[in-house]
Amino acid sequence: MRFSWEWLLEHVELQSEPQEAADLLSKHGLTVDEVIEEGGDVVLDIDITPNRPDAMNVRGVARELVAVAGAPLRPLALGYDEAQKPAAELCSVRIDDPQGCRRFCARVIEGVTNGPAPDWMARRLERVGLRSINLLVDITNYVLWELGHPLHGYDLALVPGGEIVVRRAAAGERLRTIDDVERTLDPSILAIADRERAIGIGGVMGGADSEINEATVGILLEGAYFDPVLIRRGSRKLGLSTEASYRFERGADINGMVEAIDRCCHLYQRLAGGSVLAGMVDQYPAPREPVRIEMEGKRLCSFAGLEIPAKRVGEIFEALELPARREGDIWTVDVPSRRVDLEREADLFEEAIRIVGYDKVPATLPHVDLPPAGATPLQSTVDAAEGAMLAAGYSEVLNYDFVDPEQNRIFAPAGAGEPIEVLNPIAAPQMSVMRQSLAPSLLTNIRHNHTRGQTGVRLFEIARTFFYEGGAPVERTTVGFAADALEPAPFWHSTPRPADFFESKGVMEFLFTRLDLRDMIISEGSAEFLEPAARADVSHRGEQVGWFGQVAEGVLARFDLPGAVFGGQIELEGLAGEGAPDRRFRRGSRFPSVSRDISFTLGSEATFAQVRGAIEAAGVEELVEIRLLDLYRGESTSGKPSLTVRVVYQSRDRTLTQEEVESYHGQVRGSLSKLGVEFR
Amino acid sequence: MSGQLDEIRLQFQADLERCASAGDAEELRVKYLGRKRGLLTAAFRELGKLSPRERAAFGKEANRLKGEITAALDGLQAGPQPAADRVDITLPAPAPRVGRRHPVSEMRRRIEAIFIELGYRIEDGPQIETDYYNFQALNFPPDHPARDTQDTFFLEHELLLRTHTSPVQVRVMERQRPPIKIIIPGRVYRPDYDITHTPVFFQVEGLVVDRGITFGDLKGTLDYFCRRMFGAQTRTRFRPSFFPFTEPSAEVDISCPYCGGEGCRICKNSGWIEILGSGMVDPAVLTNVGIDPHEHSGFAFGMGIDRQVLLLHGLDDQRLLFENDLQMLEQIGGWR
Repeated sequence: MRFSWEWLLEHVELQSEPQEAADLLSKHGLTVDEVIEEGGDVVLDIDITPNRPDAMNVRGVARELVAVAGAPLRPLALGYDEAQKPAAELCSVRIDDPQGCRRFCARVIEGVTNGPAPDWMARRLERVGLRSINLLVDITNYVLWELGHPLHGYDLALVPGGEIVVRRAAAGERLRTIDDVERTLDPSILAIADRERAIGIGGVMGGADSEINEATVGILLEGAYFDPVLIRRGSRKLGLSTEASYRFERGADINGMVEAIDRCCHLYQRLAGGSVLAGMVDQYPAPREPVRIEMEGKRLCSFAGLEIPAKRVGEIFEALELPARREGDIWTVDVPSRRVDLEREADLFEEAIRIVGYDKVPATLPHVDLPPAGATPLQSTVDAAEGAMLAAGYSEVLNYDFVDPEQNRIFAPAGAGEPIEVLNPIAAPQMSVMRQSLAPSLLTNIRHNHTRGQTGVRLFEIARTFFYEGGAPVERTTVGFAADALEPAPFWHSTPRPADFFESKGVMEFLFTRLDLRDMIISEGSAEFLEPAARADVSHRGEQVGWFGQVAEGVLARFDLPGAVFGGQIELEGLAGEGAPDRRFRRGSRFPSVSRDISFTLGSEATFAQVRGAIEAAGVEELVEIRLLDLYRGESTSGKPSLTVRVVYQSRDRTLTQEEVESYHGQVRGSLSKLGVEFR
Repeated sequence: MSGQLDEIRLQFQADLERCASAGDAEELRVKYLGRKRGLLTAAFRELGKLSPRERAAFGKEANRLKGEITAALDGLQAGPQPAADRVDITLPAPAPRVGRRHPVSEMRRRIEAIFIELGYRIEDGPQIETDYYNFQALNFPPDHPARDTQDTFFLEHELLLRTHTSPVQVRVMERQRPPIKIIIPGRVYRPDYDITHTPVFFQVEGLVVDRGITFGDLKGTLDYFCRRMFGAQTRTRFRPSFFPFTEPSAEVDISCPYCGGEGCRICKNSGWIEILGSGMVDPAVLTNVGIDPHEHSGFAFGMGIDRQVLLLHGLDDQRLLFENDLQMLEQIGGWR
């Protein structure tokens, strides 16, 4: 909100420079964003928080300067002569909705001459960002900016009989507002009406048909107090936010508005030659109850962490023009109607501390008696998973949680149900549902990096996926990873291997090792978004918790990705706290080990798990390692897998003899041959 | 006398640098070690003029120089060593393949570490929230203008995406009596998208509630945090502000870490950078969770993690953080 320095000085007697004043305001409560020199004047751009509608005007800022700079407030010219003729003869007001409109005041001014506003007024309005229209309209805008209360002038001749009714609009009632837009109203909106139809939207904008114009000679001046919530709803419904609605929403000054009306009449008389009719028509069915707050001095000090003597507290209340008296340690403050933000003791604490200055409060550290805190199981699990992925050479990404519904559908786990939809997405459909898998985001990230010339991209993310379960939202912390299989640029020393199925498997196994989970089962995959030839499901204690493998070609095409992508995902939520760390050290045998390699061809349906099983089934206690040295499948083996397996024998208590090793190895070969392998 | 030898050494080194071939080396050998007019040979002739003590010292020095010159010229004439015997240490080496932590995650951990040091516990809560936890319990009444400051993503079933981490405050206070001393890091959502706003961003929120917590405690805590975070020389400035869930409220500025408060482009010449919002927990919030504000008081604070990342690394577009470009991750990502 913009304020003219020259205008401010008309309200407060201040010696300091604008920057100095701005610093004081910022330090004590009104943040001055900018001090701008402009046409011989200085504009203060002040960011006024919504709790301080009282400061959203020149006089309010001036009062704040009185409090923080100790400068005296200048009196305001409000005087005018009243004509003999009573206003009530030409105007009447009826409030049908006393909750929506708690007070409505009207004054009548006759014999005005419209025209351009004087230069000084037009200049001030323009300086603060308002447009000068004509004298009569400018006067109400000027008073709005000066005193903060929105007033509205009607052309008296255009309000039949001067009769004003404040009521809810009828359904479908129409009104052309002064911005020349035809609007349709409804009963949630407060209308200012003449005896037949709406002539304005209460607290938001007046109607065009009763608008002040070049020919206006008589004015019906409205000053009213409207309910903040009602105005806000109406303004939102109409999509129409105005200087008036902005202030009414935040709370207008129900008693102080009379001053604004007087100021307006003063200016009508002084500048437009008007004659103000006698008396103000004032409908104020339930006057504001006095607001009185008690504050304990001792509590203020212990809350602030600063000793503020009673004398200082008294000075602060005085500077803020808050009538206060003290009995013992208890202060009683009568809150003026303009300070709608002051209701409770804490509100007075704030006033006292900010005027004393936040910088005066000594910095201390709280002494809170609490046992040391540890991480929750989920936090530890997330930390471990993150550490594992970083160590595996995957870099972390962070993505938006909303994705394209089509992309989401591809990766949604079987039976996931409808995704959680965002009703007001910033981009539809691309960002309209909460992701049920991290995969679409990771593929998008790989694609982005390809466009930047990167290959061998390895990424992971730990974030939540979102589901409805029985109508309620469920969030599941999940880790997902993906790597492309593009050939990296050659390097003289060694060319890094592109990712493949077994890299994903290794990463998944490493994750489980790192999480100290022992009961992981990898089984044939079922996910349709993975290649049937290279996919696996991961389960833990009978529950499927994830998958890994090669992303199906058709899916990659939808992400515009060439080559192959391998990745996986597991839900961490159910695994948290399930890990059973075994940190016991086991010393290796002191006796030498003996290795024997076996080469054989496997039946085309057999798996390595069966080979391992067969070797273990030999029941040799001294067998300590089975290592697959080589795997070949080609023409020379008629398409069957040909394996070379190294078996290592070692005893914990003796050196094995040649005969023992031969005997063990014989048992192993015997067991293998039952599998139907052909030794080479 | 040894000055003479130093001069010869310097001259030889200069000559050696210009020496390009075995032929050049032979010329140098004559110039320095030549039997008739070699420079060093001439120096040896001076030996006879010296006292026995000086002679011993000078002789030793001169012999050492002779050794150096001979070795250098021999090496030069022998040509370069075969590559197989020696590693070219200037060849590029393969970098170990290590993943990098996203800079926002890295910053979150840095912030967490400081508060863990101060005995805070890390808390978390749902990202999908109700109006009650996100707004009403935090003293944002329905249809209140304060809601204008937090545009919201809405979901079906009267749910929304939390606009700040503050609803977790309420959830924790509902299930736990004071003393409470927690921080809440996490994702938050607001429908904005421009150079300084992304629809998803990250906050860390802190909350302390106990008997006798003061505004001074809030100041001291954030002062400590800012010095640990931005360096011991960092000064803080607390400015009055307004948040519905704190009263009094304060914005916290730090002296600009780039210019030390002198004024620069980053701090827009003000010398200060706004970093945190904070305040004493509003009594209405305490009452909403059944804590008596006459018995307990507390403070809360919150900051954008992304913002700190932009500040630390001099990034000028928050959206870059969500592009997840490897170039970005490899430049400013975290290790560990």
